[in-house]
Amino acid sequence: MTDGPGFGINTPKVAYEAFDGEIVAVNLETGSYYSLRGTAAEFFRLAAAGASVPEITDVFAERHGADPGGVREGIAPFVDELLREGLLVPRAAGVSPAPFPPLERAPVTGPFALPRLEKFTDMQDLLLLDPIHEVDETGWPRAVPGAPAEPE
Amino acid sequence: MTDSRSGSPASSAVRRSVRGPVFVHALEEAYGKAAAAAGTRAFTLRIAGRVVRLVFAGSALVAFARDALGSLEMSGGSAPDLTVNLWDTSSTGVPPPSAPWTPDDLRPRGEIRGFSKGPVFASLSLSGGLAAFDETSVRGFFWARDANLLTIHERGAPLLSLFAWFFRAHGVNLVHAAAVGRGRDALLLAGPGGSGKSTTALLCRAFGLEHFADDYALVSGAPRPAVHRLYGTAKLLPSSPAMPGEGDGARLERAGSADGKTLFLLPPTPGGNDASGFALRALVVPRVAGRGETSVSPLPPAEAFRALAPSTVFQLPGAGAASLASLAALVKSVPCFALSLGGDPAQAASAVAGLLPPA
Repeated sequence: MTDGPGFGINTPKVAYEAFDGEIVAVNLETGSYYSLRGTAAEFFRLAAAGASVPEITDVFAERHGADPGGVREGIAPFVDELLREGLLVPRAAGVSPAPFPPLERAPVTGPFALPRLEKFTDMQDLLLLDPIHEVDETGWPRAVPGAPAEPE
Repeated sequence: MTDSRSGSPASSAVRRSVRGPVFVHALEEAYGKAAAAAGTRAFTLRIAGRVVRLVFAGSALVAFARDALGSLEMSGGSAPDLTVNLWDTSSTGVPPPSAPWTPDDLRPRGEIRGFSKGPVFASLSLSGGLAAFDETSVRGFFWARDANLLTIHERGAPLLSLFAWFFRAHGVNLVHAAAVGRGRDALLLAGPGGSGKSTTALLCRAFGLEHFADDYALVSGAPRPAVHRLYGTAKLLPSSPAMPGEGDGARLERAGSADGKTLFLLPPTPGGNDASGFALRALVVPRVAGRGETSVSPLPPAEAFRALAPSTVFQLPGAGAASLASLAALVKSVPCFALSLGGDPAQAASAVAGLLPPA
């Protein structure tokens, strides 16, 4: 996990859309897509806006009345997973952090819950439907009879 | 002096701005040679209110386009909003121009680096052919090595990338979904392959609803979205309970795709090609339970988005954040439902019909 200056969305490889209670993020390069709810969605919103891990830790600790040390320890694997999946990238050092909007001060409904990333890989086959197997001397792909599968 | 080999975004933009128009000119020349060698055929379509003229060098690709798009054919001499020139090498003897890319430029989804953001778009098809679209001249090109090599997927949804590029510029999104309806109202059935949307759509057709789309539909105008017809085809596994039988007008086009599906050409249905389309009333996500009662329940928009958006953008070259944003706006603008498909096929059609306004 990084304590660096914060994160950014890994655009243009990754795009996301926010819904009530859920963020759906799509990695356009790998074909994987993700569901983030609850604290995972809160984390993603803040991180996408440039917040650093210590800043997010403070927000979570305040919102959920939780011990900052426990929050920080709890979110570390999640941060690593977001970076490993290529959804977030560390913001370059020296780049000023963007101001991020405070989360709504909604009543805390329960104790701090560990953020969880739900991953879907059922679309990866579509990206593997690559028509390009061989390229002839003019740069055009040779069709390989029967080779490509087809989208359903 | 600028180093044209540098990898900076600015130099990439410069290369793209030069390479695209040069490639379009080369395509025009190649198509012109094919047309001179084999003569031309043409027909005109009205799709979502837009006039699309398809001009073929020779006749080898005419059936490829007309089989799936024939019900949208129009008469009269309206000026086209989009003209597409099509040719194949096998029947005309004219090859495509030299490819202005290297093997490293070829990406998943048939994308070609430098040709996925406009103003010149290009992608390769499953059979190794090319679709290209020039936003500036609003002209498209389709080249195939041999009409006989076109896959069932291409025959069921010809010129898919071209339509996606052209209509996106007019605020109309191509979505991976089936569509059915009644009167001027429509529903989208969304989900990945195998989720039951094709079967459900054809069961609805047998039940008396109109079949607007099997795999791909055009959708315009959130927050009051409308569905527009595109292809008059359907693909099914032989085991589907909705396989068309004799007497219902569907024509078997070709069996035995790589995924075991069979392509059917549905009988032409008039209407649905104007700008107003069919009012989208709901988005339905079917899931095959296989037994028990068929049931309908409300579905959070995020789940509907997950059923519709990834399978749409991962099939369309160049689709990205903007397409996802449009699809998010779409699912937020209509009620969304989960349809659990039980053991009785007739219940599926009845459940879907119940989500439409009364006739």
